[in-house]
Amino acid sequence: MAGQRGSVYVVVLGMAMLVTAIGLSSLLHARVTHRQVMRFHGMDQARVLAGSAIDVGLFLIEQDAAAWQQMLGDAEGQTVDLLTGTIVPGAGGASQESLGGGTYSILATFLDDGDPASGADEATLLGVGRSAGARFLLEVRVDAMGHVVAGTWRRRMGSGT
Amino acid sequence: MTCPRCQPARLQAGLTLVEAVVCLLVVSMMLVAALNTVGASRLTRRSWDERARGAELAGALMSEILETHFEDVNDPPIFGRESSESGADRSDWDDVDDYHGWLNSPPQRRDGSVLAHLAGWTREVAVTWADPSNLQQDVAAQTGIKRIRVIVRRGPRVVAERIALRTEAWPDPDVPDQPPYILFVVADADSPTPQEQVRVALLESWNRAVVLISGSESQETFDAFAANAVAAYVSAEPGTEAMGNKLTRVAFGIVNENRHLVDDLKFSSAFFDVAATDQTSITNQPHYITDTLPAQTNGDILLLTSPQPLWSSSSEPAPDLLILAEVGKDNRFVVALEAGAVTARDELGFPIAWAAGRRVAIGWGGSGFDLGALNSDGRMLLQRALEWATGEDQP
Repeated sequence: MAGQRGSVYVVVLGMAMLVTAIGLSSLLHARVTHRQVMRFHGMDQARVLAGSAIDVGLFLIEQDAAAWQQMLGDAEGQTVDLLTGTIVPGAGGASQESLGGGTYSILATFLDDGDPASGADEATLLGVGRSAGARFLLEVRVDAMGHVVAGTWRRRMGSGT
Repeated sequence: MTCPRCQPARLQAGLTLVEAVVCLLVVSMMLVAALNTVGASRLTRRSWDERARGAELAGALMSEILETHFEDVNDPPIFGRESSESGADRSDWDDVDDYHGWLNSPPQRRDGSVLAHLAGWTREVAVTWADPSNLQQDVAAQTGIKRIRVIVRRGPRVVAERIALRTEAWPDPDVPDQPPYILFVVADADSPTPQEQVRVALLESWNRAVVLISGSESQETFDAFAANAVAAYVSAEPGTEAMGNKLTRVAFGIVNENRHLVDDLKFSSAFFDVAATDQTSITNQPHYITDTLPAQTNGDILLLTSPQPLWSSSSEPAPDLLILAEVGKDNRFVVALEAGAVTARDELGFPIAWAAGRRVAIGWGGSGFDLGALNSDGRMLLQRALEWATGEDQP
């Protein structure tokens, strides 16, 4: 008899757990969807920011051609943060500027032709856009005059920035 | 005679009123809590669906703006629309500040046609000069940097926003100055392969203007080249898969032969190679692309003069995918998506992605495929696929 009485509570407890499980799974689903929406939102804005970063990088080069020529001579084989004008150890050391609910960074890596005396002839501009946890990297080659080399636009995959 | 010990036992076998009330209370509280959770979850979900759609609308308009020049190249540039540019639609707007102050509800395409099911939605654009020392700061004077802000609202509520910069240093893409053309995506536009040259010759024999673009070009270059395109055609040659999703959002049609792009173009999640064959069959799905193909008595159609490697889009097809032709048993050989077709649903069945324009995938072009092996019906299939993609099936 005591066992039969207890079974009522087991049934009630089971129902309560079932209802709780339904509620929790609904919450979990909502969280996953939220993450997907945010990621989509973030990736799209990050792409726009990466393009803007390259654009601003080209503008900075055009505005201060003397500084660009100096970088070509001094920073062969090295990476320069174009927002601060300083040599950074790698893409991870870049400064970030805020724009449109995200941030962007601009880096120029000067190609090493093996002859330190001649300076660099080309550089790779890397624009990094970040928004809502998403990150987009866009790169393009520029020549010694700071002009884009046709056909060199790439979306770069990778981490560390 | 009654057993004195049986009386309490009988009483214990039932539920007391207090126990029943307690059980009822517990279950009721749990139900109320669960229903509240589910209700709140659905409301939140609607808001996220709204945000996803808002992001699509904002992103599409921003891409359109970034395709244009920094300043007008045809007329003496002024900030805002030049006198020759109309305000009725955006088809002749060619620089970013033409969009300044643009506000329309419901949102419209570039040609002025209204986007369906978006009553109550508004898109607006503000373009301002940005201060080079602080790019978040507006200035009245010309600075060489324009900040573009696209806002999407539903009612009075801001649903999505995109901000981008465009400077005078941005290289204007060398957009081909040609009549509306087929944008032909190849592995290397500077050095098309013999198979790609065969395709170009075929397109030109149908009086199509063709412009080549490498699959590895940037999103910006794709956007710029898309401006005058009436359709895109993606060659199956290795290397074109570098295009990825750069054309996913374009509203014009795409004919795709590259099996590695079935996922990017939202036909299905994967593909598989079919052993070399010349046997294909059309389905019962009536469609402009396959309607005129002469089927044999068993339903087969011969498109090739010799067995060729083919491929099939497999796994998780888009919900609205139309299967027009098959190879072997149930292998999707020609598939299509109408503009606006649902390409993905979530676990609850809600649509979460749509085709921006017409899409066709033709499952030829596996490794070693020779386009020269197409017979007249095979060439007709390709021709009609391109006609459907350009909207020429409609009067």
